[in-house]
Amino acid sequence: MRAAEFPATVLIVLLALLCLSSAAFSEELVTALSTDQIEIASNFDGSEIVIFGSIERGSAAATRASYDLIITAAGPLETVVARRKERVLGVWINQSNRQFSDLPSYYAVMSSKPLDAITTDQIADRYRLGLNNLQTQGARTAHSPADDQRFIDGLFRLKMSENLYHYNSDGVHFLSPRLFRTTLDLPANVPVGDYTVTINLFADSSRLATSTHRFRISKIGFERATYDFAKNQSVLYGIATVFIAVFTGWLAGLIFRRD
Amino acid sequence: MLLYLPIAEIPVSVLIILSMGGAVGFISGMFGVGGGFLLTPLLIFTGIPPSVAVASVASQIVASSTSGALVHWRRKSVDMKLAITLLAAGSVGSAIGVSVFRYLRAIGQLDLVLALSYVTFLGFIGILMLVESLRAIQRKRDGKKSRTRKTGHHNWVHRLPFKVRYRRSKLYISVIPVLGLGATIGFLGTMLGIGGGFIMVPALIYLLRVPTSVVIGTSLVQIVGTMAIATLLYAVTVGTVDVVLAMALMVGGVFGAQIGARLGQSLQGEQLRLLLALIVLGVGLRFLVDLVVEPGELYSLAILERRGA
Repeated sequence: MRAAEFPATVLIVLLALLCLSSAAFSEELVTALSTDQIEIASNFDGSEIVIFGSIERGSAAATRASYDLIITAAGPLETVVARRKERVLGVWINQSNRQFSDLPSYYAVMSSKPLDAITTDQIADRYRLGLNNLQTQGARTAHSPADDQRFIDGLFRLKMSENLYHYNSDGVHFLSPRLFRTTLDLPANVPVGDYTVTINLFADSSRLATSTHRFRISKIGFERATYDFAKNQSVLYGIATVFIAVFTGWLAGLIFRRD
Repeated sequence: MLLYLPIAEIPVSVLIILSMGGAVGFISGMFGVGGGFLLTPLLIFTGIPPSVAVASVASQIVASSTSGALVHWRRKSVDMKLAITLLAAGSVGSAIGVSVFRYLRAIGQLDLVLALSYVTFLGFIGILMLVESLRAIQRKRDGKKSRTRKTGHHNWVHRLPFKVRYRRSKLYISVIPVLGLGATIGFLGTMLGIGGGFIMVPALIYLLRVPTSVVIGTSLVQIVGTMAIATLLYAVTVGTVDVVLAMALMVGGVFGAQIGARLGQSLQGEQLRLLLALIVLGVGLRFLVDLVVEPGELYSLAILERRGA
């Protein structure tokens, strides 16, 4: 190499090294939702959102046997009381209860394999993945853990029967080794509010990458106006309802009057 | 086809709601009863939360009673002074009913009290109606004439103090039983989601000795007023009046009532009353069965508070 070309060569080598280092990540997720707004109109009967994305492998990525995904979607938080009926004097009455604070009103877990085949319980717990890792601590009383568990089981059973809590261990489908999609089912009685979707990439039991999205479910149009009116102007709403009733009664008399 | 109820926040089948309103309207047109005592249970049986059912039916009762009340008012077969006194007491009773309703809902015992009240109320009324209609059928077979009641005949009620003259009913009676009756009907009607005409009409006839010519009109005016207050109170306190549900019920009810009224004139009165007695007993029995039989799911959830909506 002649002396004059030496600095140029160093520059080129340095540039090449710079380019390589910016691509030295292991894996990254590139994800999207099919929509970030669900609108509840008068004929609403549930909806669905498609979550999809790809796994980008960087130069630092090790060879992996396969990738797995755990995707969670959580709705607005609520405080719920679970009540249990017991027989009193021949009649079934609500007796004991447990209160659960700050639980998601909707919680879905979709994964490419059953959770325990993807990662360990400790890691799932650390990242709060899975239905069992919902924070039901508040409902635990000191003296009857077995009974507390029955209430927790009852809560989950009821939520799952309404499809508000959902676990699909075969819910994430791979279209190619690094391209995936899943469908989030929203039932007809899905609560209104802000939802958070978290996509977790796993391989060899450890979490490699994560990405978050948000979507919102809201009532629109007539339903929203009526709901807001009833909530914010309840006196006027009550009076208006009475007016509608009296008017309907009067109109009916008018239409059907036989003289 | 589905209709999303904005306050109840659940979708319901339009066909089912219209049919229910129509069927109950049919019964109300045929028998001259309000129908709330059948409509509220039917809505609860189809899965609509009791707090929404009771509050929305209250407004539907306003609609169905208004057309009848207007007819009577035009014919001048209403004792307005009596109706307003009953209404005033009814409003107080209604307010108490709404507070009790809210309290029961907060402690999770609303369903139970509603079911127990319906079993008692429907069972009692149903048996009374059954006996009365069977007797009427028997009397008709024997060819006897039905006994005429003597209005103006005094009983213990007429010996109470604070008497007020009700000219239209030709009554001079203490205001205490009037207020008591109005308040009781207002309380029961509001808490259970019924109009109360069922109790009001016989009570006016037998207890206060109001002449039959003004009884139905007066009772209807009182029901319109008391249920209007109840609707307002429910809207302001628990906020479970669903105007969309109420309107769907009103539409079905109005059409059903017309068909029922027309059909009712061509059929025999006593046999219809027997049929109604059986329907009433049937609904009461259903409540009883639900109370006594071990439910499939012992647990239930109630949302106390939801954030971020």
